[in-house]
Amino acid sequence: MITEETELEESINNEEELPRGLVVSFILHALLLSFFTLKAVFFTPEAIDYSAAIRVDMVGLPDKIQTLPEPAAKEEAKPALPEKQKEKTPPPPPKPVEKPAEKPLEKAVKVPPKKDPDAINLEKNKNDQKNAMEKLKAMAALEKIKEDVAEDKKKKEAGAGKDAAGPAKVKGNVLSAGSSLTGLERLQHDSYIVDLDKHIKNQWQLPEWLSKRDLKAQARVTIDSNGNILSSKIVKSSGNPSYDDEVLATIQRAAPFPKPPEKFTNILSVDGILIGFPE
Amino acid sequence: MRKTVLMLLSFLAFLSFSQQTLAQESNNGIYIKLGEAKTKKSLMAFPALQYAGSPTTTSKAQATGAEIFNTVTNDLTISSYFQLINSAAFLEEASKGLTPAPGNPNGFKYESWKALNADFLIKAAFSIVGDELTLETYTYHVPRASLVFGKKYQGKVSTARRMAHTFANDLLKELTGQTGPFLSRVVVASDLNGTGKIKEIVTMDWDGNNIDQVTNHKSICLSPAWSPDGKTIAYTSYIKRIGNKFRNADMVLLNLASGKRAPVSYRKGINSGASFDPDGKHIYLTISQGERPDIYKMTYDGKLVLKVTNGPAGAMNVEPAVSPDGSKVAFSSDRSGRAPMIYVMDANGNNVKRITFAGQFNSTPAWSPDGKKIAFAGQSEDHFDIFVMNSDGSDMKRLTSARKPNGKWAFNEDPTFSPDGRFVMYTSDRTGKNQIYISTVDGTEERRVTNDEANYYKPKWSSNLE
Repeated sequence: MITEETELEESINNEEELPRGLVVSFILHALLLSFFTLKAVFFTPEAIDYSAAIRVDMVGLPDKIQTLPEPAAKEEAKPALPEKQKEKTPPPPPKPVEKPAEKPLEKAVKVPPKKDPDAINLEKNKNDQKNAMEKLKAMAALEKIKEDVAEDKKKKEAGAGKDAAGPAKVKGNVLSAGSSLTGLERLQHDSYIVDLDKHIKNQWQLPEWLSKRDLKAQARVTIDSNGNILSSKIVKSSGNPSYDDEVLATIQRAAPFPKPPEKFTNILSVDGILIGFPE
Repeated sequence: MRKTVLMLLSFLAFLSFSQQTLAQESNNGIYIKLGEAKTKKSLMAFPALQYAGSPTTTSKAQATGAEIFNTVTNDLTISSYFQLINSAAFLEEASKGLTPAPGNPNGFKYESWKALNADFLIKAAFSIVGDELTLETYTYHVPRASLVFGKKYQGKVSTARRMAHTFANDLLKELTGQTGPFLSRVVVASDLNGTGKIKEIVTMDWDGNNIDQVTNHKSICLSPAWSPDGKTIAYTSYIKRIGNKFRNADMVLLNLASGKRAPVSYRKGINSGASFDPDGKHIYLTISQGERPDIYKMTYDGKLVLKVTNGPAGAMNVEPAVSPDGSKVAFSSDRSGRAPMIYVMDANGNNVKRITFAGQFNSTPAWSPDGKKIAFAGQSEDHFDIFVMNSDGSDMKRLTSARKPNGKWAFNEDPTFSPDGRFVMYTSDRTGKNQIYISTVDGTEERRVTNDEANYYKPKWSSNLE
């Protein structure tokens, strides 16, 4: 009996220990996880190590683009243009098939809602008109105006002032001008900036008598898709005409600029490059 | 327990989420900071001075005109800001008017100078009436076709050289924002005739002209130094005082204007290496008193107020150099072993820091006027060369490396900074004689200053003198 009792107690103890062990392991796991997460958050190394992975991304992208023209073509051919040209440069490997669906879907979803609500609203309004309430009509009109204004705003933001762009074109521009650059775009962007930086620095020269005066100026340069200067102007003068002259002369000497990646031609021809002399 | 686990998990989720959003906030605008520019010299055209006085005095005036022209040309060339265009390339007579053509019928044409790619054009004329010299200058920026600086100077004919330096100073001030160093002088010990036995103290213009012998001890005079106002110098001379059997290395203060001199430190042994405190009241110097030398702080009438260095036993602490703000003293000491090295301490002797570790013998530290750099003479093999480093010992640069005609390495010693901090002056025996040279502070351009048979030792460059 005594032995049985002790066995029982032991088994009870075991039962009690099991959940405790679970909790402990859970906490330990949580700690481990938080350690790695914290490490990843606060000690994130720059993406330099991904340089090898860049090429994998580049291989993957052309496939995404292959599927893009289809949904885009339904609306307008324009947004596909920049990416079509891209197909030519990297050889398109056929591997990724599942991924490509993601982005186009987003686009496809984003694009239609713009026009569809209009149509639906208009139809509804027509039906409602027959019954009663002119108010609704006014509401719909207001909504339309609001949407038009929103679209106009987007056009302006995208700044594709040159081409008489349809709404789809504007969308494309908005996407490329978006605030997030990740993956390949980010890397292209970064490597282009490195090129630009080196290219302009090579031409950055001052007469020695001007160099010790602690003068600062900023200039904005817009360039076309081949890197030719479209415009250059001082946006922040140093206050010294000779210094400002040297700034503009440096920009002229730097022409043509490195040919930008297609993705950024819109940014570069409209927003341009802000150059700090020296900062 | 579960609650805490849940909280942990939600915290982790939040963290990973915030990480994503952070990554999305990348900056898309292209902004490039160019940083410091490369520099280039500007091309400067400076046609000969016109004589604007009466024709009868022209021939007498020519020498003065040439002196002004040569002095300005030398100043501007050495400034390293400009490259002067050879007058053989000029497309226009120097006699063309001082102002540009459309306004002045006989004026110069900007086109003639644009064709030479000139950045600047100096047009100048002078006249002499009796003993009075007038110099009229116009400096134009050629690409912008505009006058950048025009000024008239008047004075005695004897001050022609000084007038030229003043113009060069003013022009640099106008263009660079910083006054040129061209009105400064140098005090230096010299044997005057190259015999090397007797050394007296002399002062000279920074470019080696107007040498004045200011002592006549017929003895060995050493290590002179300027007071902050440039009116007094301190030096050490082996003087035999009345009642003494032997000559002792005593320190003397000399008022340059009155010629009045007074011994200020004549303790037995060495009283040497004066460095004036910028407060205008104290001098740091080395006193040995028959023992190993240490650095002391003394008033102008010779009262010791502080023994700044104190050992370690057997170590020498010499060659004090007070920083321009008076807060620090650089000196050389062999306290670390056999090789003297450069140290920096607070002016009261605390916080001694060794700042050079390279080479076999580092000596004669000198501060730049902004206190950011220290120059010194360092021996790496069998000869000394001039080095410049940041005042914390970082970023050391070699300024000199020269051989004598016989192929042996020359000794380059005793650096001193120009008042604008852009040049370092030192002596070099590369010609066989110990002559004075200057180099740009980055070592890119080196020039000989004195050109005679004398030997010069321990030059000190003054501040800009009135």
